[in-house]
Amino acid sequence: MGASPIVVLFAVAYFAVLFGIGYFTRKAGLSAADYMVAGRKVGAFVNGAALASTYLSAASFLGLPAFIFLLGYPFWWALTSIILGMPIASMLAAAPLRKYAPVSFTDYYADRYDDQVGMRVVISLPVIVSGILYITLNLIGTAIFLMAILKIPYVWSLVIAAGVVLFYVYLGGMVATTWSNAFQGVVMAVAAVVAGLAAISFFGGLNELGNAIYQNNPKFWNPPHSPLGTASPLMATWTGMVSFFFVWHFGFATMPYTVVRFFTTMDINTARRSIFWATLLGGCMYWGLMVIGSAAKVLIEKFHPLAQQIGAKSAVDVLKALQKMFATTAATANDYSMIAAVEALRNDWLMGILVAGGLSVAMSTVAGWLVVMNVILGRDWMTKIFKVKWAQENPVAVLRMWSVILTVLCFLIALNPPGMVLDLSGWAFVVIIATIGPPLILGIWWDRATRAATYASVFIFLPLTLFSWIYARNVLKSPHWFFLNNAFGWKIATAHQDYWIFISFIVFIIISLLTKPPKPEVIQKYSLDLRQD
Amino acid sequence: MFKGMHPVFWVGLAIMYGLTAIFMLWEINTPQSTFQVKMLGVPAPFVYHAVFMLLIVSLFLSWLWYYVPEQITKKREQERRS
Repeated sequence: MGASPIVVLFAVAYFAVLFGIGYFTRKAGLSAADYMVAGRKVGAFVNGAALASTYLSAASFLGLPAFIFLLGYPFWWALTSIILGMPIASMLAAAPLRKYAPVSFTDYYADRYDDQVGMRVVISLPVIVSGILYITLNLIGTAIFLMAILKIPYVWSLVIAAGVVLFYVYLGGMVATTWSNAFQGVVMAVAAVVAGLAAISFFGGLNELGNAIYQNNPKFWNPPHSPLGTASPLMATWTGMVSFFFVWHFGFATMPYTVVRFFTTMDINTARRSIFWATLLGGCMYWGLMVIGSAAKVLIEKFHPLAQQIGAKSAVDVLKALQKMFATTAATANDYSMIAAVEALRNDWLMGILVAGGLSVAMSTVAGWLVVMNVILGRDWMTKIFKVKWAQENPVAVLRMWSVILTVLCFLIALNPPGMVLDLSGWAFVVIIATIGPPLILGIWWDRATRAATYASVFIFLPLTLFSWIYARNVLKSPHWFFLNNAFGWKIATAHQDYWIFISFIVFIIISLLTKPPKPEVIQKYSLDLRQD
Repeated sequence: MFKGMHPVFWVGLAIMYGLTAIFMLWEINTPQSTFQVKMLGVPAPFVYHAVFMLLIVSLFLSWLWYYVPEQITKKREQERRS
């Protein structure tokens, strides 16, 4: 399998547009306010497209189809829940936070809980952990798409991926990433829809596609508790399906890299309207991913060029051959399954569109996270907490310095990926939502939310979410089994240990009720006033 | 808690989680595979899940949750002016 000139051409055209946007918006990155919140001048569609491309990452584009390939139809609910969860943010967080209009994600916590230093330090801890996971997984995703384009080993793809991402974040901060992310949002949705339609057309219609999937794997369509068995033991009971529904469901309202995009819009109405466009683009993209993910196994086994060359008996054999070819890990080879499914359709034009969409989705998220992390480390830590003089005098240079440090760090982690991209994503979501989700949402919507409960939330649930995930992955061989299964003799699936999200909200409420309430003027300004339109 | 939230938020949530619960319960209690059930001549999940829940319900909610608050704000402003 060699590189196709058509696929390379699509990638070159994609990068040309991307760097064109970076070049024309480079002056905008010279002001710190433009770098961090794009001057608060962004309209509904552009912000919505940017929101979609930032929020939906390589974990979506590669990871979700790979998990459908592994877990079967019940995993469709995870995709639906992500898109259904997006509009919740319009009422819960977008309008109040746009009204408040902070610069950094940590500003709200510092003001609402009346603690300018301690709160910034504490809130940034889970954000840094999740940010590193997310930048790493999207560097991996970018590298996987570069592998598909150039047919070069994983490590070289990763070197190019890190260089490209750094270059365009370095250019223009939030303005450049807003415009390039908007372009990327449209490209990724078109790519996934075209790939889905191509798969349906390849089989001759939805009925034929459904039949082909069924004949290849009769358990694929079976729901939990089916007497005929399920595609994966993780989906054997309802807990698997329901817990996968909730892993990413509340992320759009609480993840820092999307919440900061509510700060960039012109006004409250634009913030709410932008979510409509984000949901439209995300929904279309996910429709394509559902189709491709469902068809992946039959396409790879029956039609992938390598399957015939090596006489593969199953899709796993093909993925193993790809793993050897690209000198990568089994997890990365599994993540390649979505691309392998499209390769099986043997259409270079389609592959060209897909890689442009894939690069879009991965690079936009890594850029969004880098801006969030730069602002936290460069502005909050260096300028506000440690009051470094050089940082105060050179705000943009500090932000760019952190881009380089973080990209190098995540590049080193990505050299040996610790899991599939969707595993890293789910872990990051549970860490963030369970630790800083309750103080954000309840801080806006409940007068009684307290500083002590916020500290407790981070210090209790950061170690718990990290430990239980790692324990389940290493001891039970999957992060999706309840981590205490062995102790009780159970076999309960709990995706990414996401029950911590619900427990953390309950604990936050209890501790808030037991501790000293905030000052009335703080509640008025950062809670009651923000709720009014 | 949640004082000042538009009532339409709770209506939207009831629609979203109500429909999700109905479809999940139906799937779990369908003795054969959901694939065997047809809607509009194709396997049912392609219609009620991939189109209705994923696209129609989510877009309806995202429209509902920006349109209603905007209308209420406009109405309030008109009342203030008059």
